[in-house]
Amino acid sequence: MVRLKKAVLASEVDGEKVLLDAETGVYFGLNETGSRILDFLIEEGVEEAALTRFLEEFDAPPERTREDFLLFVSRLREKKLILDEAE
Amino acid sequence: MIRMYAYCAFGMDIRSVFPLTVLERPEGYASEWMVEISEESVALIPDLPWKIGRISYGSGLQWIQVEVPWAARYRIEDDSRILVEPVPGVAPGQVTVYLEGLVLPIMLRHHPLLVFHGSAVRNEGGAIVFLGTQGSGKSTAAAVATGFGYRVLCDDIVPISASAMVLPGIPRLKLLPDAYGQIMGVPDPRAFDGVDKYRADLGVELSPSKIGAVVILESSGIGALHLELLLGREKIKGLLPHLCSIEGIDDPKGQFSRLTGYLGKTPVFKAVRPVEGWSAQTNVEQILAFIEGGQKSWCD
Repeated sequence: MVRLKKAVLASEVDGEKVLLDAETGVYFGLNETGSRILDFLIEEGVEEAALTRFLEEFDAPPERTREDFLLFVSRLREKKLILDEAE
Repeated sequence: MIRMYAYCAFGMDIRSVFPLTVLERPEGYASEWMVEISEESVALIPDLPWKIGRISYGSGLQWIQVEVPWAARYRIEDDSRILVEPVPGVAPGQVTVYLEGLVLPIMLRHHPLLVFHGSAVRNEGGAIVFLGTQGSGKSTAAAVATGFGYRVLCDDIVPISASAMVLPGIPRLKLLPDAYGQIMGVPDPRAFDGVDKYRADLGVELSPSKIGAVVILESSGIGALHLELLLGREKIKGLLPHLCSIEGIDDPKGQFSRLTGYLGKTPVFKAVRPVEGWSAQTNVEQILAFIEGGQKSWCD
């Protein structure tokens, strides 16, 4: 299961998702695409299911879209904004 | 018979046994938020957990206590009473300085407000909040704006409600001598605040006003005034350093939620002025014209 870290707060400002990691005090801004990926991840809780929805929504070459998705999710993990939990 | 003084500040109707420097309560002023400030014995609470320099403080469910060792012990009860036990022999002005500058702003925490360090003015179009670091010209900008039909809502502390209304704070500007001289003329010794500024009463406003815009004032080595609309993360990053945040009392998560919720739709501008060779009059006029024109970026 993928979920947002408990200390991370998310809010929509000017069409951009703004995240605050309350533990570190660091802010992150996601563009529209990043916001959608995060929404899918949180809603689905499973990376593969989120990727499927992302591919359905974005009318772009699947290989490139998949690469972008995986790169973005790895960045979310790197920044410790999302966590992987055993069900 | 103890004399009671009547004041208004931060939307409160204040009755105080201590004379304050905030505005005296005008005839007909109405507020549902009544606050009584009285001189009483306040029990010592050893080891208050939080510190600002040598000032210590702590809070419980219905109270906040602040210990200023050289001035007084203050206890806020609910959102309606402040008990003050002055240090024996302390000058009354010392008790007042912390009452106005620390205790009353802390009392605002009883309400779900966003509280900024800044100044605010309003006209019929709404309120403009000026933010910036110390010396960035917030009070001066507010003073200059009064020359363009704006009235002063707040100086130093700016409270904003959930409905994005700027509440009247202390609508009495404090200006450094050079700014006072430029705007008001020769400084009047009676207006001296006892520290480093002069009080200036310029078009006082005591009614809450819907926020129209926030301007973050900065200076840099650039050659001319630069104005820019901040969006998304840049907006939140720009606003955050100017929030009055008190460790142990303010919850960062609550502040973030309020910041994005209350001001998410408010235009926030960054105004960068040159360090040297600038005129407050000209720059503020340009800033006001820019905001009123609803532009997104502009360079003189």
